[in-house]
Amino acid sequence: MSSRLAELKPETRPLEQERDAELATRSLGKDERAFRELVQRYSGLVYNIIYRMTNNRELSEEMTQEAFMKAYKNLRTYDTARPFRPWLLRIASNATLSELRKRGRHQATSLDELQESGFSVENEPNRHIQPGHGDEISTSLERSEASQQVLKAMDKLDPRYKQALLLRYQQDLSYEEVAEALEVPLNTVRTWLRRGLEKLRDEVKELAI
Amino acid sequence: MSTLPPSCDDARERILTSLDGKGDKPLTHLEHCPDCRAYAGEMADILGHLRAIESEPLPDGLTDRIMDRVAQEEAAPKVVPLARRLLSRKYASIAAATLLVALAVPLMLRPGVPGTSQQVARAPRQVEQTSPSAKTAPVKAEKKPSTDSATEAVPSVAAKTAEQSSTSVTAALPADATVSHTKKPIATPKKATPVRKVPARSVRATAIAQAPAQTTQATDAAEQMLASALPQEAFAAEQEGDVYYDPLSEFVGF
Repeated sequence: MSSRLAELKPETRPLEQERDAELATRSLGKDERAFRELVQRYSGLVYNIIYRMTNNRELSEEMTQEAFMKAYKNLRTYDTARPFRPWLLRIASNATLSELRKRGRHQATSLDELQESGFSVENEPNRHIQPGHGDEISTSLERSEASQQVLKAMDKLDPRYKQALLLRYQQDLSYEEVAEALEVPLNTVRTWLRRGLEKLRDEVKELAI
Repeated sequence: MSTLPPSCDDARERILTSLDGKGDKPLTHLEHCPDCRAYAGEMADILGHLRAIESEPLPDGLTDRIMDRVAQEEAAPKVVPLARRLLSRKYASIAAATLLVALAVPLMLRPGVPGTSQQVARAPRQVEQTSPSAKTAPVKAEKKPSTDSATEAVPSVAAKTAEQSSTSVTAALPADATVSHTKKPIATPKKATPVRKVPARSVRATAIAQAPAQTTQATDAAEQMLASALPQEAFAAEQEGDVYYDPLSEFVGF
């Protein structure tokens, strides 16, 4: 009986099984292990969104650290009845857009930077395909080129559309979560996604010409 | 989008929704509209590429660096911004009290209002005649510069005195005395010697004659306080009645 009770106590459960809200509450009580767990859960997501917005690894790391520090300092404002992920992404998103505005431009991605990124041909997940599978290599190269074009085209989008597309289609957030992360109504998210996709299609067509 | 026929606009909305896995394609429309068929194909490609975007690997040690910063944040002394400090309850209550006083003092000092400073300031003047100890003041009165350190203590003493005696004393004053006093011009705070000569004899005598007996105790106490706070010259002058040293004059700029 007592062991069952112990299982129910949050302190005795492994941190990996804790809900975000519980971890946030414990972090607020200066439990650094709990906050570390949140960092481990979401640093990849935050870093990737920022990286796709800035195309700069160094800046992305700096901004990721900044986003988590802001989250830590403002944990008191987090409503534990709501999901943590959009709340964190909102902080990251605002920090990123603010930084981009401060820098005066939405940094365009050069082809070199793209090749440096995980989307270079060498870094494609299918790069280990053995010789003899010519068709697959060709398909992989085509896919890689198309991905590069899409990424390049994305840099010409309005940052709000770009963020919405990345959150929805790269990070698989629900419409509601995207709305919460970007602090806009649900219908605005739908509009941004549609406009973003259509603009992206047009940009990709232009790049292909 | 706005140039599209409503049917196409609606169909494209449904195409995107279906590509998002949340509805069915507008099949009937697509059979008859080659533009929307092309649109559906292009959107499917774009979405395929977007979803295929691989995650960027995290820099090594990023979590540790973030946690180091958290530890530094915790170790650093907390600096509360000035604005927040000012808004804290403690300071807010002090500010509220100050505001209250700032609003109340001008009201209290309005001429002609019972219990105001004009009448309050007269309270000690009545005190000295009723007190036997005042008769022993040894020094002849002279005007005292306002910079005298002893006079700086006067206002608070006078205020205390006024609290103790103003109600009953002012009630005993004749109406003409109050009126003539309040008609005196008000000096600016910067003027050098805020000492006034008041023909106090007649006022004082009348007031004392009419003052109820219950004021005696309060005026004795007030006199003792005044004697200890006023410079000797000024106090002696008070006793002799030819110069009235108004202790509030420095405080309120009269």
